[in-house]
Amino acid sequence: MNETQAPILAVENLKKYFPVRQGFFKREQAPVRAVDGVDLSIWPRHTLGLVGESGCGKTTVARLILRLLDPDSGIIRFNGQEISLLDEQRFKPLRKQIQMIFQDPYSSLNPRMTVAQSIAEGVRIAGIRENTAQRRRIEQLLSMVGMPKASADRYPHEFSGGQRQRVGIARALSVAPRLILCDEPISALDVSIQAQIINLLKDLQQELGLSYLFISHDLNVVSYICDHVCVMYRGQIMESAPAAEIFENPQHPYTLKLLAAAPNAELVGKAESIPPLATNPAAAQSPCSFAPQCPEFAPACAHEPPALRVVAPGHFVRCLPKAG
Amino acid sequence: MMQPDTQRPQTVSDDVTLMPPSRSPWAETWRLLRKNRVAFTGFIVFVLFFFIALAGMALTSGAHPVLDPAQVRLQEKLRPPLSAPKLDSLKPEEIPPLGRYVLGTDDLGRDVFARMLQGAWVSLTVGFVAVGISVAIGILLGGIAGYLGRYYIQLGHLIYWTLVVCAIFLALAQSLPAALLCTLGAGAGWLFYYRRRRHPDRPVAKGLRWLIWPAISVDALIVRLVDIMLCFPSFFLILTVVALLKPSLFNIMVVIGLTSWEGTTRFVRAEFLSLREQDFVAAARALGLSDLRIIFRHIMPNALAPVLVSATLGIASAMLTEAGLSFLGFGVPPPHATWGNILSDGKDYIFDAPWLTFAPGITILVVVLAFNLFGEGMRDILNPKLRERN
Repeated sequence: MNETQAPILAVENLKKYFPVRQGFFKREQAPVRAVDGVDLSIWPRHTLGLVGESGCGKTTVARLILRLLDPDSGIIRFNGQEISLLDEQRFKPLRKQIQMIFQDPYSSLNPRMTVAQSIAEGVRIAGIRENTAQRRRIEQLLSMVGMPKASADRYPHEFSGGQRQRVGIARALSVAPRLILCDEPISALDVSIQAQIINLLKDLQQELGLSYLFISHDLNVVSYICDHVCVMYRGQIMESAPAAEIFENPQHPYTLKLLAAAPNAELVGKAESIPPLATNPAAAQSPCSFAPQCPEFAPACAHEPPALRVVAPGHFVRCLPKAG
Repeated sequence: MMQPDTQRPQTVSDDVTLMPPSRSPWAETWRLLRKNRVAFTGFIVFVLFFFIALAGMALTSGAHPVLDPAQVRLQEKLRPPLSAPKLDSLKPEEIPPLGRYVLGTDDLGRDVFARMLQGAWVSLTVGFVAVGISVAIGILLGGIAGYLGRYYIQLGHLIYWTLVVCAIFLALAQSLPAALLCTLGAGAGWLFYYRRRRHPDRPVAKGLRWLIWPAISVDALIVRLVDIMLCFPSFFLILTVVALLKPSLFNIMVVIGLTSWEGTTRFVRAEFLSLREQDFVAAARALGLSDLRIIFRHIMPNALAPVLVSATLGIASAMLTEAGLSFLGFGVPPPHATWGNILSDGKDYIFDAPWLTFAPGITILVVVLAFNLFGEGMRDILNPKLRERN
């Protein structure tokens, strides 16, 4: 990672709580801390992996960056410019530079628009208004994602999931973005198609100089495409390290657990070495959100809040140093 | 930064040229409609009725209509269907142009066929205009509730608009002192909001803080309004309004339209709520499209299918309501024929001249049934879950 260059996207202490109202009088309960102080940096032409189980706030982070949701607090800097406080009017020109690829290719395309119409929405935003020029640009985008030109005038329901995902990528590329947030782009696809889409994303990164935030729950895929990996649990980054480092020297018990859960022959031995869940009542009161699940729960964990600490250059972990 | 048209090796496994020919959603709907025999029959009757009503309008209106529904021939009253006119007793302008009384004559010797044609036009316009009004209101209110429903209305706004509406109505009813009072109140409210808009950062005075209390969300307001409207037995509401106003085709259309928008509102609201959360809407927002474009280009076309279905069913029920009103004598005033008042006139002669009852009765039955079958068929066809079976 090139530390001297400025990151294209820097997120600091991002928070988003969702209020929960329950009962007859709709009284406010403790909020769901979907994103609870997340820090991220994405360098130009690099891919940052964001890994974690379902419901840990990965998608919410992406939606906050795109301003589909408003953050409660925190700073989002795109290219050095603070964007979390901009109003919609002033944010609009920046929208072109950040795009998203969605998880479900079946709901991410408008069923009543042809492929060409869907992509044309972005092409028009990018400033190409003349019809033949739009058409040329749409066909160029389709060939970039490996779709034949003849697919332009078809409707989404005529395509397979992988093909739809390609169209979704073409739509994201239509405004010539610099950063693409990939929200589990392959988890709804067949295994054989997954590799094609991953390779397509890698090729596009090379060709167009894109940066990716790659959200996934699959560590194998992340290890293949990402330069840097952040492991997220209950709205917090638990461990952040270069991709190679996280596989060779995982520090956080949650990372170990994720690695063990991945169907990978090399790690089968390690998985068995993890002791069963701690059933310590002190764990429920712990300031560490992972404590109730933690196999390495220590007495110090019951009261001391874990802060991010440096393990190696570029490798951070949110866990107390092991005693001794 | 973009490289022009890099030719990537073909990685898509199943080539598009091998796929079946492209079908737009509408072409697909048409194909499925033709496969559904019951719905297709309904559709055929619907189209036939449409053209018959148009033709009927052309043939029975004007100063010298081809088929005059108002031509009285007292010597020819209560002639059965398909009977030939007694030519020697008729003046030249009284002779029916078809040579026969196709559906007989009524108690004044008027040609029932001509009257049915005239009534078809009434039914068609009442059905379409009333449903047009109700669908327009339904889409507007349902769309607002579904897309902007989460915004709150302040108590002050509620009071302000109530005062404005009261002032207008009181002024129309010419009770000027009360109207003046309401106008004063509304003026004070306008001043309050004008000052707040000029200085948005200045805190509200403590005594007036209740004015900016968020009383109700837009969504809740509209849904409660729908609930209130559903509480009225709508036929009697229509009956009351029509009895108070002058009965005319225009009044009936408007009143039926204004009392039947609740179902459409609910449909549209529900569709907007679910479509708003879809990824393609998020993608449209991420591209930076305007709210209006997202609503009309991305959400509305997807929300329209169930609205069209309920509109088709609504046309049938509006036609029934109109026939009921005419039967009770609150419909289009008498010299003009409608299916309802032909039926009503015929009930006195049901044993002597049953065709006076059966002609409009069976026609209403067939047309309403056709609309209902067509509407129900469309509901099945447009339902994506049922669609995949075909």
